[in-house]
Amino acid sequence: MTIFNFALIRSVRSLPNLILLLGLPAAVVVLPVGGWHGLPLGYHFYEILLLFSASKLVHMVMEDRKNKMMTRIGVAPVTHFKYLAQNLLAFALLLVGQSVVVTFSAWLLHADVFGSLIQLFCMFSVFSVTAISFSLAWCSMFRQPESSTAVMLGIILIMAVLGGTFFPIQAMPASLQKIAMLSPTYWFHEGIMLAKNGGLFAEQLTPLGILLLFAIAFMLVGSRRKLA
Amino acid sequence: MRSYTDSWSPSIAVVIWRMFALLLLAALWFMGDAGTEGFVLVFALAILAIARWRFSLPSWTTLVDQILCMSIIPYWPEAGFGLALPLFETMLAGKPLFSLPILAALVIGYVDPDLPLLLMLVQASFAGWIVFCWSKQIHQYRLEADQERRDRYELEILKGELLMANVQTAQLAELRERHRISQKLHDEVGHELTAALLAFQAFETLWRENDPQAEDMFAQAQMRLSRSALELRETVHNMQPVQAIGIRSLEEICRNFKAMPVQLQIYGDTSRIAAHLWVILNACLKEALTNAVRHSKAKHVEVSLDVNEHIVRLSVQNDGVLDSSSLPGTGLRNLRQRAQAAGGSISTNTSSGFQLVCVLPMEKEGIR
Repeated sequence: MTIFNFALIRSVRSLPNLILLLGLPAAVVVLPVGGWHGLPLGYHFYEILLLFSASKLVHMVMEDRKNKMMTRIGVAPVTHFKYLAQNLLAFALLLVGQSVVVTFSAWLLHADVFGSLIQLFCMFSVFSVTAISFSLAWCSMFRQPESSTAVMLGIILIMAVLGGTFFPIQAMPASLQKIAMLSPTYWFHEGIMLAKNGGLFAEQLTPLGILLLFAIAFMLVGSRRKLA
Repeated sequence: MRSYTDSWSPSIAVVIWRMFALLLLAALWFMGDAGTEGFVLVFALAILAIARWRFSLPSWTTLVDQILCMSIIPYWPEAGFGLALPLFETMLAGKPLFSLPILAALVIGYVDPDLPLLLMLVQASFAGWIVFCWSKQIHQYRLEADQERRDRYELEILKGELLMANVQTAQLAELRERHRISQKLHDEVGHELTAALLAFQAFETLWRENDPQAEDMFAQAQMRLSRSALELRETVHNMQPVQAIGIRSLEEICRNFKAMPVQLQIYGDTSRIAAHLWVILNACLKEALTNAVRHSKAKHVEVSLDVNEHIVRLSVQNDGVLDSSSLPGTGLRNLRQRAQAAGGSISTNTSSGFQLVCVLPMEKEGIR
């Protein structure tokens, strides 16, 4: 697990990463309840933060590719699968840890809003995994980390708009509502609304399952070995 | 730069077909009134297609596609179109038996067999079968090409060995010839000379003693000496090869060539050239002279042979006009191969008239 340890240490070594992983979630949890969704604002927009954090973390893999680290890994007695799996596991652990903190804060600060904290935590952690694999798939399409970051910001915003972060899905035309299903953020909102209502866990399985499917699809696309 | 035909392969056709089928299914879901079930089905089929693109999944995994489609059909009847994907995959893998559940579902009426669906399924199986045959053919061609390449390598090795054997045979022949000459000189000339020497010694003794037999002995010794001189001349004459070799063969080729005047110039010590190189040089000269007659209306040919420590260079230049339509023929190609096998090269120059230059290395290491 050397690569896993190294990935963990490397993730928390830079200041921007620390702010994304620790500073911003602290700001997220204290924002008040507001808007048409009846959720704390921070929790409603939390998926954007998760996507940003995931992209920031996965960019380290991309830096590796740019710095010819992949070529060195290729000749080292480590398979590409091991390298990728341990890196992604470290990133996922960080984001799931963040989700634990955010869910715990929800219990402290917004206990009256959420019906089921377990459902909320499951949604956060599964979405973290999806966000990581989405970033991986996205990065695999670019050669330069800079260009991928620039386009990624736009894509995250489009996904947020499409998924109903800024205005309710029901306000959109029927055809757009169907297209919105193509965005993981749609299922995220679906999931946290279910967590807010605190219904049966079985209902939560649909958004969770679809987010996992998204994760698998992105992982299949993104895990191709690219050396340069 | 890769051409269009290089980049167009069965794997690309498969990807295009899968994308087409998935887009069709997605369009059906988008236009229809299906909800999450349809979305999940299209998405799951897409994931399986991506997985097949990344890895080669075994054929039984098409059963997963079929089960997915069948289980969604009660909620969304158009999910039947999704069956085209597993059908295509089974045909692509050459294992149509895995599609039996689809056939069964159509027969018992679980899937409504309307015309568009049937057309789609027929199209899918046909497309899969065609790509299957195509990739099988390409695989076979690849095997054949590999076999041919292997054969060619073996032939090249064999050719090198034959050339090596050629050199060794030349050396062996030379040794045998030397042995034969020494034997001939020893048996025929040597004996007579020794006898003459002994006779002269006897004559000297007799002559000192004023023996009347001395005159007799002198005549005998003289006869033996003259006979041995005759033997020597005969031996040398008998050993003279009928066929010209070495530089003389080159000269003879030039002399016997009557079509146009040939000027031959020789620089360096030609005795250093190995026998197997002479064979190539002779062939080169003959080929160049023949070409001069056949392809260019030349008036004059200049041949020059340069020999130094490292290489021998034969240049044959004529002043004719090259027929622009003529391509390098088999003669020249064979020569080039032979020269290459001996570690040398053959080049042509058409800037003025036609010039053929053959360069061969002198060292034996040149032979591969």
